[in-house]
Amino acid sequence: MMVHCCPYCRWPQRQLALVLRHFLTCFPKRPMQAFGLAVLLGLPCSYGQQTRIWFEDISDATGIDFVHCDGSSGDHYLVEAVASGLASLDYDRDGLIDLYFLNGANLRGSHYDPPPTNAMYRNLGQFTFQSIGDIARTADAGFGLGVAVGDVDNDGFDDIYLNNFGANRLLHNNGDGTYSPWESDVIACGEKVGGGVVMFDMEGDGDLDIYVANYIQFTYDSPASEFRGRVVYGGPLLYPKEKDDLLRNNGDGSFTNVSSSSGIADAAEWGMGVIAFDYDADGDTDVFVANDSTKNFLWENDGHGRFTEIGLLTGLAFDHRGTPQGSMGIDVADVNGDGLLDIFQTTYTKQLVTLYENLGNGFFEDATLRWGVGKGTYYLVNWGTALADFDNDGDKDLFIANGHIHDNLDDVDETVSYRIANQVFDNIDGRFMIDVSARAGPGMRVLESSRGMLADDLNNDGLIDVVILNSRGRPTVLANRSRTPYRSIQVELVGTVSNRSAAGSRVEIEVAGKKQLLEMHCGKGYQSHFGSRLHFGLNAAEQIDAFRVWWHAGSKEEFRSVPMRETIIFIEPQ
Amino acid sequence: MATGMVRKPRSATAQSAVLVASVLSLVAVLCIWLVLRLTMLQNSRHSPLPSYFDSPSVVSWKVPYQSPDDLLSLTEQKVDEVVREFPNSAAAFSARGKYHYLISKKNAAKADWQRAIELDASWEDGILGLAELAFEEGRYEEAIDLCLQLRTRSQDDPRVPLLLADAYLSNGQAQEAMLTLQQHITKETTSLQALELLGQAHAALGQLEEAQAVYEKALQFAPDNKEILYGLGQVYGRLGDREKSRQYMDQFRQRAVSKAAENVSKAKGFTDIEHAKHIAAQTFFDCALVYKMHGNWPNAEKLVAQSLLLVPDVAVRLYELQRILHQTGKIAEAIDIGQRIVSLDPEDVNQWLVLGGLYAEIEMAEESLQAFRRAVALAPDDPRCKRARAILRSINEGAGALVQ
Repeated sequence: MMVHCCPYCRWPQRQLALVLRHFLTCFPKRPMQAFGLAVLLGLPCSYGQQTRIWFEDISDATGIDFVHCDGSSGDHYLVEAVASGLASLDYDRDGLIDLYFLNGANLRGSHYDPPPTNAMYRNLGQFTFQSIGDIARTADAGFGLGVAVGDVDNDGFDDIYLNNFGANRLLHNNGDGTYSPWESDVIACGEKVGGGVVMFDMEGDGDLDIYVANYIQFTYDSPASEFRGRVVYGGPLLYPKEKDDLLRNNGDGSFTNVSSSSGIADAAEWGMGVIAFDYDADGDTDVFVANDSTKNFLWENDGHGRFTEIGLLTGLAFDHRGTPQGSMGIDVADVNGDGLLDIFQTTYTKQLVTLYENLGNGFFEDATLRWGVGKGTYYLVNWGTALADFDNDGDKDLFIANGHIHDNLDDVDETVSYRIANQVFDNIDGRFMIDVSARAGPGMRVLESSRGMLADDLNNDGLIDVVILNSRGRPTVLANRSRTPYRSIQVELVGTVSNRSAAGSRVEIEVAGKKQLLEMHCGKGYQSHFGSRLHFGLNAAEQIDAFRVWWHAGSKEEFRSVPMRETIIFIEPQ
Repeated sequence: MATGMVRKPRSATAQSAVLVASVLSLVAVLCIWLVLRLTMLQNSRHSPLPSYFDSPSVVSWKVPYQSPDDLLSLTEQKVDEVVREFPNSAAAFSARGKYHYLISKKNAAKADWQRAIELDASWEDGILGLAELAFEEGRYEEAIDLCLQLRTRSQDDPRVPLLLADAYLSNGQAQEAMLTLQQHITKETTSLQALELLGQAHAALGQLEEAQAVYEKALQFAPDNKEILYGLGQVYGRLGDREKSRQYMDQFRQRAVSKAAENVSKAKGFTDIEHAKHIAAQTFFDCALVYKMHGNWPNAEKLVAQSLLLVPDVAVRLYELQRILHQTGKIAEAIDIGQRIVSLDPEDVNQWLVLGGLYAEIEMAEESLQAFRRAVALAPDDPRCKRARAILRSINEGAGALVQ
């Protein structure tokens, strides 16, 4: 029998049709080859519609039995609609990434029994998980909205901060598989409705401080909104804004609320997703806050923990027309390989999602239209998001978790679907992105009302998997079974002079003349946390030409001609 | 089959001369008629006009509804009735398409607009509706195709080049957007939206100096325009001129703050019933236009009136009602509507001129003169006002002669 082989990856095929299909699948990012082949065979050129990315829904086989509860009673309090985020972390340092889901709580008029609590699942490998919330004492009963993970006391184990509606909590990892609450009124931040939360080292003293975004000043007596004769969730504009909080880690186990002295209290909007990153690569960490229905914040750090709000002056406050958006989730990565960190944010319905390209001169351009990432997002409400290389081809693709807030309008308004499919966009050579959801496997056909999502390698196969928290439902676990011949490397950073989690440290790899840059973040996406192992797709490279690590404390290391491996750990030199 | 006799076409110049002569003669006859009529009626007196919307017959037209859904249900019944009555009317299907669009039933809207186009392939509202839907759903190529179809049919509708340019921009075809807008701007030199989009197209192509020039030109027409100020701030930011960027962004910020307050106020003021009333009013109005098109003036009047009873004081609907009333000989009522229009916008030159004519028709000379004088005072250089001034001058001369 004649055996055909793919001329590029040598994958054997028995039939010509299969060879052709494989050729188009294997080389969608080689436009000329795909185009040439199509022309030669008289086929319509389908370049741009093919993708290697492939997700399968394996939720039922994971052992995860968590069901999200938003505390709803039918009265439609806005806080229900915006819950909740989730986190991935290796809490027991066994090399497998564990999962932590936030949950709502009973609100006025609701009586869920037993009362909902957050849930933690230990990764046993091969996509199987074991519930350990009670054992680990992480089953917080507060109304969970946002979460960040980081080692606040530099003891080598990841702690968890919960931004709740009500008192916030910091759960200290005892290092023995259990957590203890960090008792502090400062940590609680009052009884506010929280949003996202991030940990970062704001003044370079080697420990993690905490930025807590807040959403609305809520009371149960706020009048209900009605639409088409039904009680529906009213938007944030109906509520007073709540100022964010900034907690300085004093390094002795105590925290001080420095919101006023740091400048953070100078402005207030309706805060949702938040990410701490160094937008201008000046060595200190700044904070970007996605605010709902109003301008976004970019808090520029002066390096000493004093902040100035410069969102408008950097082009990040609004979309390309100067219109405020219902900004929700955020991720940061270098999408075009120019060595600068770009920002992607999700938005509310009747708006396009937004990709801000970093121009390197302290300014960002809303490049959404040029990149094509807005296509098909206008009617959708988007929440969680991640920029990650799902097919290991060396550029960052995009995942968006969707779901409307309105749970009772599907029958009267075709633009409102409470449960809808999520989207995945394939990055084409760092120039534009294409929505490939329809061709990216059965995992993309799940219909839920998604909120937070995370992207991490759950089974250590070098491919980034996805977990999505669904409002009022079970989470979706998507195994990445992309048909890619490419490998990846994952990088763990251990700070010694810098904070132990290495938040704010950067890694650049150079492969076949192309550079990829990632920065370590503690908290991102939609009020979630993920990505503590930095993942680089390597395309067809046989070796990594160079590794460069910029530690947050200021030192830089470079390693050349690093042999191929699956993971690598860098420990900061003291 | 050819008859053998071919009529030689007139030259374009000769045709134009004939046309101009005809128009001038018509205007002259009208002016003489108006002068004579007003001169004779100058001293006549009048009784106060009844308010149109207080008349018992109009009051009885109020749409009875108990709830927002009830009102929308009645609206749907009405538009369905129009479609049943005119099953071969593109306008009827188009009206129902718009209603379905307004209540976010996209598929039904699409079906109605497609039916409208089947009935009349040149039905522009149907094609535009489909183009807008395609644009919103991110099917930019389809939106572009539909806009190109429309552009070849009609050069006049300014919405078409703007949507086409927006679709090109959204589809990453900034070069095509730029060309479309440049063509449009040669006709609509002060179209702010076109200038804003052109600035965006240049910026998307990295032509920052050109974008800056376009935005600065736009700023001459609208120095307070928030979007233009933002565009300039963006361009200077990208050019690395932080100081200039800050200057424009600060101006933008001031306007954005008031817009934000307005948004909050709108959100707090939103009520379900008002939303439903707006949809119903628009749909009743669209149905009225269908009846008008088919010569059913009583139904047209009733539906526009119902639309205005639901959402009063919408100028375009008041104008339409006035036209219908005038057409059906209800001059006093048309005047009442005109008074309402000028009370909403006292600087509406067009309406003062209309009122001048209407008062003259029912022999209210003093009011007619006042209306014409008001128009002339507001826009002395407007060609229509120049004609009105000539009429006023003639009247004064005529009145003087009568006294002597």
